[in-house]
Amino acid sequence: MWVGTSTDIDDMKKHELQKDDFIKMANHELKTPVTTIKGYVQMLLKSHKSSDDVGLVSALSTVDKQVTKLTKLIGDLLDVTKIETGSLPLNKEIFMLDDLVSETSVHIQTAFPTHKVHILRNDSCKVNADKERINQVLVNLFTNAIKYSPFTNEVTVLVKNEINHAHVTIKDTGIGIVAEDHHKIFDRFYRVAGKDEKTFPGFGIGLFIVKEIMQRHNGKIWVTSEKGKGSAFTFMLALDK
Amino acid sequence: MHKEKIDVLVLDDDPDLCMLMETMLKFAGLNVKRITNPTHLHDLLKELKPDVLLMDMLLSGVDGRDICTHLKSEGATNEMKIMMISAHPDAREKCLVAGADDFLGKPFDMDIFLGKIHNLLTVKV
Repeated sequence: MWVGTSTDIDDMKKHELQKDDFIKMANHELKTPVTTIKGYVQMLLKSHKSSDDVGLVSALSTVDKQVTKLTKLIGDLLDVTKIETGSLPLNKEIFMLDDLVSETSVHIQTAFPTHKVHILRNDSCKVNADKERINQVLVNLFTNAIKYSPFTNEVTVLVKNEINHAHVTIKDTGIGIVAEDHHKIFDRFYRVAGKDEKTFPGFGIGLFIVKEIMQRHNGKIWVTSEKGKGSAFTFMLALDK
Repeated sequence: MHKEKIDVLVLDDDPDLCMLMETMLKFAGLNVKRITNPTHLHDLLKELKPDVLLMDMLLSGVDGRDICTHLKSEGATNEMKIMMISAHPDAREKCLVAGADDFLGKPFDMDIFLGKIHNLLTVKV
Protein backbone atom coordinates (compact mmCIF):
# COMPACT_ATOMS: atom_id res chain seq x y z
CA MET A 1 0.00 0.00 0.00
CA TRP A 2 1.39 3.36 -0.95
CA VAL A 3 0.61 6.38 1.16
CA GLY A 4 1.35 9.82 -0.25
CA THR A 5 3.28 12.09 2.06
CA SER A 6 2.15 15.67 2.58
CA THR A 7 5.26 16.83 0.70
CA ASP A 8 4.31 14.76 -2.37
CA ILE A 9 0.75 16.13 -2.30
CA ASP A 10 1.98 19.72 -1.80
CA ASP A 11 4.34 19.29 -4.77
CA MET A 12 1.48 17.99 -6.89
CA LYS A 13 -0.75 20.93 -5.92
CA LYS A 14 2.08 23.38 -6.65
CA HIS A 15 2.65 21.72 -10.03
CA GLU A 16 -1.06 21.94 -10.85
CA LEU A 17 -1.15 25.66 -9.94
CA GLN A 18 1.95 26.31 -12.07
CA LYS A 19 0.38 24.47 -14.98
CA ASP A 20 -2.84 26.41 -14.54
CA ASP A 21 -0.98 29.75 -14.41
CA PHE A 22 1.07 28.84 -17.48
CA ILE A 23 -2.02 27.95 -19.50
CA LYS A 24 -3.70 31.26 -18.53
CA MET A 25 -0.64 33.30 -19.52
CA ALA A 26 -0.18 31.27 -22.73
CA ASN A 27 -3.83 31.98 -23.54
CA HIS A 28 -3.22 35.70 -22.95
CA GLU A 29 0.01 35.78 -24.98
CA LEU A 30 -1.53 33.97 -27.93
CA LYS A 31 -4.67 36.13 -27.97
CA THR A 32 -2.77 39.43 -27.92
CA PRO A 33 -1.24 39.31 -31.43
CA VAL A 34 -4.44 37.70 -32.74
CA THR A 35 -6.32 40.80 -31.53
CA THR A 36 -4.20 43.11 -33.68
CA ILE A 37 -4.42 40.88 -36.76
CA LYS A 38 -8.21 40.53 -36.45
CA GLY A 39 -8.65 44.24 -35.87
CA TYR A 40 -6.68 45.36 -38.92
CA VAL A 41 -8.35 42.78 -41.16
CA GLN A 42 -11.80 43.98 -40.08
CA MET A 43 -10.72 47.62 -40.58
CA LEU A 44 -9.54 46.78 -44.11
CA LEU A 45 -12.76 44.87 -44.86
CA LYS A 46 -14.85 47.85 -43.80
CA SER A 47 -12.80 50.38 -45.75
CA HIS A 48 -12.83 48.17 -48.89
CA LYS A 49 -16.49 47.18 -48.57
CA SER A 50 -17.42 48.77 -51.92
CA SER A 51 -14.17 47.83 -53.65
CA ASP A 52 -14.17 46.35 -57.16
CA ASP A 53 -11.16 44.25 -56.18
CA VAL A 54 -13.03 41.01 -55.51
CA GLY A 55 -9.76 39.15 -54.93
CA LEU A 56 -8.69 41.52 -52.17
CA VAL A 57 -12.06 41.38 -50.38
CA SER A 58 -12.11 37.59 -50.66
CA ALA A 59 -8.55 37.31 -49.29
CA LEU A 60 -9.39 39.57 -46.35
CA SER A 61 -12.56 37.57 -45.60
CA THR A 62 -10.50 34.38 -45.60
CA VAL A 63 -7.96 35.85 -43.17
CA ASP A 64 -10.82 37.02 -40.91
CA LYS A 65 -12.34 33.53 -40.95
CA GLN A 66 -9.02 31.86 -40.15
CA VAL A 67 -8.34 34.26 -37.29
CA THR A 68 -11.77 33.40 -35.84
CA LYS A 69 -10.85 29.72 -36.13
CA LEU A 70 -7.52 30.34 -34.39
CA THR A 71 -9.26 32.24 -31.58
CA LYS A 72 -11.63 29.30 -31.10
CA LEU A 73 -8.73 26.83 -30.90
CA ILE A 74 -7.00 28.95 -28.25
CA GLY A 75 -10.28 29.19 -26.33
CA ASP A 76 -10.84 25.42 -26.52
CA LEU A 77 -7.37 24.73 -25.06
CA LEU A 78 -8.17 27.06 -22.19
CA ASP A 79 -11.52 25.33 -21.65
CA VAL A 80 -9.76 21.96 -21.35
CA THR A 81 -7.62 23.36 -18.53
CA LYS A 82 -10.62 24.91 -16.80
CA ILE A 83 -12.44 21.58 -16.98
CA GLU A 84 -9.45 19.75 -15.49
CA THR A 85 -9.22 22.18 -12.58
CA GLY A 86 -12.99 22.04 -12.08
CA SER A 87 -13.37 25.76 -12.79
CA LEU A 88 -15.50 25.94 -15.93
CA PRO A 89 -17.99 28.64 -14.92
CA LEU A 90 -21.63 28.67 -16.08
CA ASN A 91 -23.71 31.85 -16.49
CA LYS A 92 -27.26 30.52 -16.62
CA GLU A 93 -30.24 32.37 -18.01
CA ILE A 94 -33.69 31.45 -19.27
CA PHE A 95 -33.92 31.37 -23.06
CA MET A 96 -35.65 29.57 -25.94
CA LEU A 97 -33.43 26.73 -27.19
CA ASP A 98 -35.28 26.59 -30.53
CA ASP A 99 -34.40 30.26 -31.18
CA LEU A 100 -30.75 29.55 -30.43
CA VAL A 101 -30.76 26.54 -32.78
CA SER A 102 -32.27 28.70 -35.56
CA GLU A 103 -29.69 31.47 -35.08
CA THR A 104 -26.78 29.02 -34.92
CA SER A 105 -28.00 27.17 -38.01
CA VAL A 106 -27.96 30.43 -39.98
CA HIS A 107 -24.46 31.25 -38.74
CA ILE A 108 -23.20 27.75 -39.63
CA GLN A 109 -24.84 27.91 -43.08
CA THR A 110 -23.04 31.20 -43.75
CA ALA A 111 -19.70 29.90 -42.47
CA PHE A 112 -19.94 26.59 -44.37
CA PRO A 113 -21.62 27.16 -47.75
CA THR A 114 -20.50 23.68 -48.95
CA HIS A 115 -23.25 22.02 -46.91
CA LYS A 116 -26.99 22.60 -46.62
CA VAL A 117 -28.22 22.88 -43.02
CA HIS A 118 -31.83 21.67 -42.70
CA ILE A 119 -33.94 22.19 -39.59
CA LEU A 120 -36.29 19.19 -39.76
CA ARG A 121 -38.07 19.91 -36.48
CA ASN A 122 -37.75 22.79 -34.01
CA ASP A 123 -40.14 22.41 -31.05
CA SER A 124 -40.50 25.31 -28.65
CA CYS A 125 -38.21 24.58 -25.66
CA LYS A 126 -37.60 26.95 -22.76
CA VAL A 127 -34.40 26.14 -20.86
CA ASN A 128 -32.34 27.58 -18.02
CA ALA A 129 -28.74 27.22 -19.18
CA ASP A 130 -25.55 29.03 -20.14
CA LYS A 131 -26.56 30.29 -23.58
CA GLU A 132 -23.00 30.90 -24.74
CA ARG A 133 -21.92 27.39 -23.71
CA ILE A 134 -24.94 25.71 -25.34
CA ASN A 135 -24.12 27.71 -28.48
CA GLN A 136 -20.59 26.31 -28.17
CA VAL A 137 -22.04 22.78 -28.05
CA LEU A 138 -24.16 23.41 -31.15
CA VAL A 139 -21.26 24.96 -33.08
CA ASN A 140 -18.97 22.04 -32.15
CA LEU A 141 -21.52 19.44 -33.23
CA PHE A 142 -22.38 21.25 -36.47
CA THR A 143 -18.70 21.79 -37.28
CA ASN A 144 -17.93 18.10 -36.71
CA ALA A 145 -20.94 17.01 -38.79
CA ILE A 146 -19.70 19.09 -41.72
CA LYS A 147 -16.02 18.24 -41.24
CA TYR A 148 -16.64 14.49 -41.21
CA SER A 149 -18.92 14.48 -44.25
CA PRO A 150 -16.63 15.82 -46.98
CA PHE A 151 -18.30 13.80 -49.74
CA THR A 152 -21.92 14.61 -48.88
CA ASN A 153 -23.50 18.02 -48.54
CA GLU A 154 -26.32 17.91 -46.03
CA VAL A 155 -26.59 18.22 -42.26
CA THR A 156 -29.89 18.12 -40.37
CA VAL A 157 -31.00 19.23 -36.92
CA LEU A 158 -34.06 18.27 -34.87
CA VAL A 159 -35.24 19.85 -31.63
CA LYS A 160 -37.82 17.78 -29.75
CA ASN A 161 -39.76 18.80 -26.68
CA GLU A 162 -39.95 15.56 -24.65
CA ILE A 163 -42.11 17.02 -21.80
CA ASN A 164 -39.30 17.40 -19.20
CA HIS A 165 -36.32 17.58 -21.52
CA ALA A 166 -35.27 19.02 -24.84
CA HIS A 167 -33.55 16.60 -27.20
CA VAL A 168 -31.39 18.15 -29.90
CA THR A 169 -30.01 15.88 -32.63
CA ILE A 170 -27.49 16.94 -35.25
CA LYS A 171 -27.11 14.38 -38.01
CA ASP A 172 -24.79 13.93 -40.96
CA THR A 173 -24.35 11.33 -43.69
CA GLY A 174 -20.58 11.26 -43.52
CA ILE A 175 -17.89 8.74 -42.63
CA GLY A 176 -19.56 7.48 -39.44
CA ILE A 177 -17.96 6.00 -36.30
CA VAL A 178 -17.42 2.32 -35.39
CA ALA A 179 -19.31 1.11 -32.32
CA GLU A 180 -16.20 0.54 -30.18
CA ASP A 181 -15.34 4.27 -30.45
CA HIS A 182 -18.78 5.61 -29.50
CA HIS A 183 -17.78 6.24 -25.87
CA LYS A 184 -14.09 6.95 -26.47
CA ILE A 185 -14.68 9.93 -28.77
CA PHE A 186 -15.79 11.97 -25.74
CA ASP A 187 -12.42 11.41 -24.02
CA ARG A 188 -9.88 14.21 -23.87
CA PHE A 189 -7.50 14.25 -26.86
CA TYR A 190 -9.00 11.02 -28.24
CA ARG A 191 -8.88 10.76 -32.00
CA VAL A 192 -10.27 7.79 -33.88
CA ALA A 193 -7.39 5.64 -35.11
CA GLY A 194 -8.54 4.77 -38.63
CA LYS A 195 -6.42 5.60 -41.67
CA ASP A 196 -9.10 7.89 -43.08
CA GLU A 197 -9.92 9.49 -39.74
CA LYS A 198 -6.31 10.55 -39.21
CA THR A 199 -6.43 12.67 -42.35
CA PHE A 200 -8.85 15.06 -40.65
CA PRO A 201 -7.44 18.02 -38.68
CA GLY A 202 -8.19 18.67 -35.00
CA PHE A 203 -6.88 18.37 -31.43
CA GLY A 204 -9.48 15.85 -30.29
CA ILE A 205 -10.88 18.12 -27.55
CA GLY A 206 -14.17 19.38 -29.05
CA LEU A 207 -16.37 16.49 -27.91
CA PHE A 208 -14.62 16.36 -24.52
CA ILE A 209 -15.62 19.98 -23.96
CA VAL A 210 -19.15 19.33 -25.25
CA LYS A 211 -19.57 16.39 -22.85
CA GLU A 212 -18.35 18.47 -19.90
CA ILE A 213 -20.68 21.34 -20.72
CA MET A 214 -23.63 18.92 -20.83
CA GLN A 215 -22.59 17.27 -17.57
CA ARG A 216 -22.31 20.67 -15.88
CA HIS A 217 -25.92 21.25 -16.97
CA ASN A 218 -26.97 17.83 -15.61
CA GLY A 219 -27.64 16.87 -19.21
CA LYS A 220 -26.38 14.07 -21.43
CA ILE A 221 -24.88 13.57 -24.85
CA TRP A 222 -24.60 10.42 -26.93
CA VAL A 223 -24.02 9.27 -30.50
CA THR A 224 -25.69 6.76 -32.80
CA SER A 225 -23.54 5.93 -35.75
CA GLU A 226 -22.29 3.25 -38.10
CA LYS A 227 -19.06 3.35 -40.05
CA GLY A 228 -19.71 4.68 -43.53
CA LYS A 229 -23.31 5.65 -42.73
CA GLY A 230 -23.04 8.95 -40.92
CA SER A 231 -23.56 9.99 -37.28
CA ALA A 232 -26.30 11.48 -35.15
CA PHE A 233 -25.21 13.32 -32.00
CA THR A 234 -28.00 13.98 -29.49
CA PHE A 235 -27.86 16.08 -26.35
CA MET A 236 -30.50 16.27 -23.69
CA LEU A 237 -31.18 19.38 -21.58
CA ALA A 238 -33.79 19.83 -18.86
CA LEU A 239 -36.65 22.18 -19.68
CA ASP A 240 -37.31 25.16 -17.45
CA LYS A 241 -40.49 24.69 -15.41
CA MET B 1 0.03 71.69 -26.50
CA HIS B 2 -3.27 69.78 -26.61
CA LYS B 3 -6.18 72.01 -25.71
CA GLU B 4 -9.09 70.39 -27.48
CA LYS B 5 -11.34 68.10 -25.46
CA ILE B 6 -11.35 64.57 -26.82
CA ASP B 7 -13.88 61.74 -26.84
CA VAL B 8 -11.59 58.81 -26.03
CA LEU B 9 -8.09 58.37 -24.63
CA VAL B 10 -6.59 54.95 -25.46
CA LEU B 11 -3.99 53.44 -23.11
CA ASP B 12 -2.36 50.13 -24.09
CA ASP B 13 1.27 49.08 -23.68
CA ASP B 14 1.15 47.22 -27.01
CA PRO B 15 1.90 50.03 -29.50
CA ASP B 16 0.39 48.19 -32.51
CA LEU B 17 -2.85 47.44 -30.71
CA CYS B 18 -2.95 50.94 -29.26
CA MET B 19 -2.68 52.43 -32.76
CA LEU B 20 -5.28 49.96 -34.08
CA MET B 21 -7.86 51.01 -31.48
CA GLU B 22 -7.15 54.69 -32.12
CA THR B 23 -7.58 54.08 -35.88
CA MET B 24 -10.86 52.19 -35.39
CA LEU B 25 -12.28 54.97 -33.23
CA LYS B 26 -11.18 57.69 -35.67
CA PHE B 27 -12.75 55.62 -38.48
CA ALA B 28 -15.99 55.90 -36.49
CA GLY B 29 -15.61 59.70 -36.45
CA LEU B 30 -14.41 60.15 -32.88
CA ASN B 31 -11.76 62.54 -31.52
CA VAL B 32 -9.09 60.23 -30.08
CA LYS B 33 -5.58 60.28 -28.61
CA ARG B 34 -3.42 57.32 -27.64
CA ILE B 35 -0.63 56.61 -25.11
CA THR B 36 1.34 53.45 -24.40
CA ASN B 37 2.29 54.04 -20.79
CA PRO B 38 0.51 55.69 -17.88
CA THR B 39 3.42 57.90 -16.74
CA HIS B 40 1.75 61.20 -17.65
CA LEU B 41 -1.83 59.92 -17.55
CA HIS B 42 -3.09 62.30 -14.89
CA ASP B 43 -1.76 65.38 -16.67
CA LEU B 44 -3.24 64.21 -19.95
CA LEU B 45 -6.63 63.53 -18.38
CA LYS B 46 -6.66 67.06 -16.96
CA GLU B 47 -5.71 68.56 -20.31
CA LEU B 48 -7.76 66.43 -22.73
CA LYS B 49 -10.79 65.69 -20.52
CA PRO B 50 -11.81 62.52 -22.40
CA ASP B 51 -15.33 61.20 -21.93
CA VAL B 52 -14.00 57.66 -22.06
CA LEU B 53 -10.69 56.11 -21.01
CA LEU B 54 -10.03 52.84 -22.87
CA MET B 55 -7.37 51.01 -20.89
CA ASP B 56 -5.60 47.65 -21.01
CA MET B 57 -5.55 45.69 -17.74
CA LEU B 58 -1.87 44.69 -17.81
CA LEU B 59 0.40 47.65 -18.59
CA SER B 60 3.99 46.32 -18.38
CA GLY B 61 4.75 47.08 -14.76
CA VAL B 62 1.49 48.79 -13.85
CA ASP B 63 -1.85 47.18 -13.07
CA GLY B 64 -4.66 48.97 -14.93
CA ARG B 65 -7.11 47.96 -12.21
CA ASP B 66 -5.24 50.07 -9.64
CA ILE B 67 -5.39 53.05 -12.00
CA CYS B 68 -9.11 52.45 -12.53
CA THR B 69 -9.86 52.24 -8.81
CA HIS B 70 -7.87 55.42 -8.16
CA LEU B 71 -9.53 57.42 -10.98
CA LYS B 72 -12.98 56.35 -9.80
CA SER B 73 -12.17 57.57 -6.29
CA GLU B 74 -11.04 61.06 -7.39
CA GLY B 75 -13.56 63.86 -7.78
CA ALA B 76 -11.96 65.19 -10.96
CA THR B 77 -12.15 61.84 -12.80
CA ASN B 78 -14.86 59.72 -11.22
CA GLU B 79 -17.47 60.63 -13.81
CA MET B 80 -15.26 59.70 -16.74
CA LYS B 81 -16.27 56.32 -18.18
CA ILE B 82 -13.61 53.63 -18.12
CA MET B 83 -13.64 50.58 -20.37
CA MET B 84 -10.98 48.02 -19.68
CA ILE B 85 -9.73 45.41 -22.11
CA SER B 86 -7.72 42.26 -21.67
CA ALA B 87 -6.93 38.86 -23.16
CA HIS B 88 -6.55 37.37 -19.67
CA PRO B 89 -9.22 34.70 -19.08
CA ASP B 90 -10.23 35.91 -15.60
CA ALA B 91 -10.15 39.62 -16.37
CA ARG B 92 -13.80 40.59 -16.73
CA GLU B 93 -14.90 40.14 -13.15
CA LYS B 94 -11.65 41.61 -11.79
CA CYS B 95 -11.94 44.75 -13.90
CA LEU B 96 -15.59 45.36 -13.05
CA VAL B 97 -14.79 44.94 -9.35
CA ALA B 98 -12.03 47.55 -9.78
CA GLY B 99 -14.68 50.02 -10.93
CA ALA B 100 -14.59 49.74 -14.72
CA ASP B 101 -17.85 50.77 -16.42
CA ASP B 102 -17.45 48.10 -19.07
CA PHE B 103 -15.08 45.38 -20.19
CA LEU B 104 -14.05 43.95 -23.57
CA GLY B 105 -12.19 40.68 -24.02
CA LYS B 106 -9.45 40.32 -26.60
CA PRO B 107 -9.58 39.49 -29.44
CA PHE B 108 -12.68 41.53 -30.18
CA ASP B 109 -14.99 42.14 -33.08
CA MET B 110 -14.71 45.71 -34.41
CA ASP B 111 -18.48 46.29 -34.40
CA ILE B 112 -18.79 45.13 -30.79
CA PHE B 113 -15.84 47.36 -29.80
CA LEU B 114 -17.35 50.42 -31.45
CA GLY B 115 -20.80 49.59 -30.05
CA LYS B 116 -19.49 49.50 -26.50
CA ILE B 117 -17.65 52.82 -26.87
CA HIS B 118 -20.76 54.38 -28.42
CA ASN B 119 -22.85 53.16 -25.46
CA LEU B 120 -20.46 54.72 -22.97
CA LEU B 121 -20.44 58.02 -24.87
CA THR B 122 -24.24 58.01 -25.15
CA VAL B 123 -24.67 57.38 -21.42
CA LYS B 124 -22.30 60.27 -20.73
CA VAL B 125 -24.44 62.59 -22.89
